Amino acid sequence: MPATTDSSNCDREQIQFSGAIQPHGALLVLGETELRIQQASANSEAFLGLPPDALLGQGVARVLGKSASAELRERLAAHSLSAGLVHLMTVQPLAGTPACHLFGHRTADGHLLLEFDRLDEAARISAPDVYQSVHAALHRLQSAETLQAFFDHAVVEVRAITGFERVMAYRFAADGSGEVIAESLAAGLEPYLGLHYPAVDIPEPARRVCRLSWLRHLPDAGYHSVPLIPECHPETGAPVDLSRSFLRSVSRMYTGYLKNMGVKATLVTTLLKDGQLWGLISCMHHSAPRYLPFETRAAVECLAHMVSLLMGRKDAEDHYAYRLKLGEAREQLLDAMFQANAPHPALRAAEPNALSALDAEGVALLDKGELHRLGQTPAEADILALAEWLARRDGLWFASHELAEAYPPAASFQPLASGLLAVRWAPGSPDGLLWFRPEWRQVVHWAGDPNKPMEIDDSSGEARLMPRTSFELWKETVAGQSRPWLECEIEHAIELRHGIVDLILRHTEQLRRINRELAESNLELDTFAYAASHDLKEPLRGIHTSIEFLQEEDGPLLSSSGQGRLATVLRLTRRMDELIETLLQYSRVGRIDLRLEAVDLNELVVQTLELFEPLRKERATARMLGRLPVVECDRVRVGEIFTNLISNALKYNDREEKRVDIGCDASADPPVFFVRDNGIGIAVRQYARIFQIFRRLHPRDAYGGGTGAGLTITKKAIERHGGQIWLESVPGRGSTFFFTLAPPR
Amino acid sequence: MDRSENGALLIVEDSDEDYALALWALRQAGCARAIRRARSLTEALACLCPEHAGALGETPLLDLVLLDLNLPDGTGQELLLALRAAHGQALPVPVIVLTTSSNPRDVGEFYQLGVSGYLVKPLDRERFAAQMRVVVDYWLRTVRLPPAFLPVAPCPEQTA
Repeated sequence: MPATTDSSNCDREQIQFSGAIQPHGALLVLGETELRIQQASANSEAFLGLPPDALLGQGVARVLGKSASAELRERLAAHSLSAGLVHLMTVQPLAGTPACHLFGHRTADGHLLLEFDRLDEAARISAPDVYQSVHAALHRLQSAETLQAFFDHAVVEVRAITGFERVMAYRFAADGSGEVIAESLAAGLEPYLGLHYPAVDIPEPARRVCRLSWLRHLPDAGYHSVPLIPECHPETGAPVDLSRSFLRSVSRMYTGYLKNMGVKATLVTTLLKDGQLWGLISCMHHSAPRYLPFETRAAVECLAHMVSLLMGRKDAEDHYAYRLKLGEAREQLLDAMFQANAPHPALRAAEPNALSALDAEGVALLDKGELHRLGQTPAEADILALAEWLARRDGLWFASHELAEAYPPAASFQPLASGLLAVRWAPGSPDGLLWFRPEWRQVVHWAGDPNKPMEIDDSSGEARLMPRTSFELWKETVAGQSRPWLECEIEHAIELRHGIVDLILRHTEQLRRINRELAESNLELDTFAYAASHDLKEPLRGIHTSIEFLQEEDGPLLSSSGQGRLATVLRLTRRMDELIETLLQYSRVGRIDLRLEAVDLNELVVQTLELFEPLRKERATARMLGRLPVVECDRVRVGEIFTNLISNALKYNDREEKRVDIGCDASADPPVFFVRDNGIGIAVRQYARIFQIFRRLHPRDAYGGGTGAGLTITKKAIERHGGQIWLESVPGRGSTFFFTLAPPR
Repeated sequence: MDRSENGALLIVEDSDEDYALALWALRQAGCARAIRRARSLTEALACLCPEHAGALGETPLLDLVLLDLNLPDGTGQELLLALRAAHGQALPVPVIVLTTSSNPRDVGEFYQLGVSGYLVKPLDRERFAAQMRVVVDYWLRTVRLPPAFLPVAPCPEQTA
């Protein structure tokens, strides 16, 4: 549908050797040295006043006269004619036919081609205006913000200059397919904007012609081609290469296509970027044939040149702007991750996230085996399997716009994710980020009416050559594909990966350092606690021993109250010694690493109860109600917990028959253990106080004394397991202490 | 009663009260050995290590060292390390540590350095006496000790 068309037989149709031209000009093939006419177009008489048979074998002066021929020789010497068609001069044929523009170029096989195009007096007069408008157009184009805006302007400008009813900008993709990226239309025409067509619509010969000449004009799609006489070159016996000829007769496929579309005239200019065919600007006229005079064609060609030059920069700028936006989003995202000290902000709903700025519909983050998703992504199981597959591959990044090609299971979620861009943190691990792009054909639409019936006379076998069929065909060719990933998008993903890996490493290093510092400070605290207790106990021992010696040596000399005071000092130093010892133990409970193992609590409690055997004499019974579970805990600590609770239950009990029941509610998760007694009970307002260190609710020596740290240490040991302790009690009736040995679930 | 031909005991202890207490406890345990005392790391090294040796004189043989860890001019570790260095990486005489510090890391470290026992001193002198009785019973009456160690320098006289 663009410049020329094809269906696959067109690749074989050698359009540059058509041996014929369009009727809006005449063509002569000359020998270089003598400037003798070797071939002439059959319509030479209409333009030059002489039929081919009167021209063949003659010098060019036969047509132009001596002085013009001399001038032509000079021009030919001055120009390199092998790069393309050159406007040499205007000529007045001797025969008195209207004046012509004379173009010339040399073919690769060394023939000189002269082409005559009728001079249009009105166009000549208005030429300065046309250049003026080209100049203004360029100015406007330069100020376009984006590539899209640039082309939106460009098609409008070209339509204003040419007066064609439809002007489109095409862009070729790497796979050879094309896309209408901008369009300017006369009212009432069906838009083709957004139309994609498959690579076969623009065959290689057509591409080659596009690269060789800046502009091709077909004033009347319904023309009858004019053969060259003779058809083949007399010396080589082969058709002359008309690649650069502006009169060259076009492919019948192309005219068929145009006919199907109701197009009567076209003008196509080439857009090159870095010498490569990048796209086309294609003008179409629907209501009637339309011929553009040389001056206007030159203006359009000039504009196409400028558009090519500017476009390359705009394209780079566009990518540059996108790159900048990506970079900015990446900075912000990494910043957010750094604040959170984890990669999960990448997947939060609020911006910035991993979809900020990046053109993808969905993203998934696999972090330590946990999957988080945002936007449109495949199902969780599918992503996990995909990530496993990626983990087995080499390389830490992967980009494909045809995922199912590389990974067949992806066919099942093709509409959602034909494109995948993925980065992983480390070799062999599936952890990383995955971006998904939907299947292209699901999301691409063109501006044309999709409900318009696709009816066409198929008698010529040309039903295929219609925009809608092109579009459908293109959709078939890109099944299972997404829009390809750009280099800057892949770079973005790789950069983001770097940042995240740095973060993870830093985080790991941080944890390692914190752990090391914690271990060190624990050790220091431990050392400090021992040293402190040791330093406190030393003088205490000195006092205690001195008093003992004093009692022994001088005791009998002291009054009874003096002896009493010595006894008090001894008692107080003993208590002080106990307090220091308890404090040391308490300070260590929170720091000692638990040695977790599966412990059969039945066994443990039975062993604990054996400690209390001697109490049987005091008519105390401690028993287990039912079975206890096996739990993951520190055997020694938990033994201490039970010992402390059972001994409290017996100690704070003034009944004749002391009873302690130990049991467990295993239906709770985690299981709740309890120690119940029929003792003196605790008032509700005292619940919190009993867990405070050195806090006793009773006179110092009542209920067997003690330092008042037992419950504090017990509570701490329980909390070290992640558990909790609480109680229910009725003063005078008894208390029940409940506790768990694992974090709440 | 011990046989008098046996070697002496060296008590490394800076505090006079604790030295007196140790003598008392040893008497309670019926120990009649000659007792020597070193008040500091320097004194202890002078009589136990050749390179620290002072003037030579009459020196009794040593059978056992009781080492209190609180020394004014150094640590018990330093003393043991110097002793080991001077005697082929071993202690030339059994050493029993007496201290109030119960830090398991210390305990482990001292056994690593080759001590023969580590006692945590209790508050009551009676209980301390009981501990010393066990020490005397075991080390001076039950086990067979290596040949008594001849110090390189005279240890200070007993001050009791």
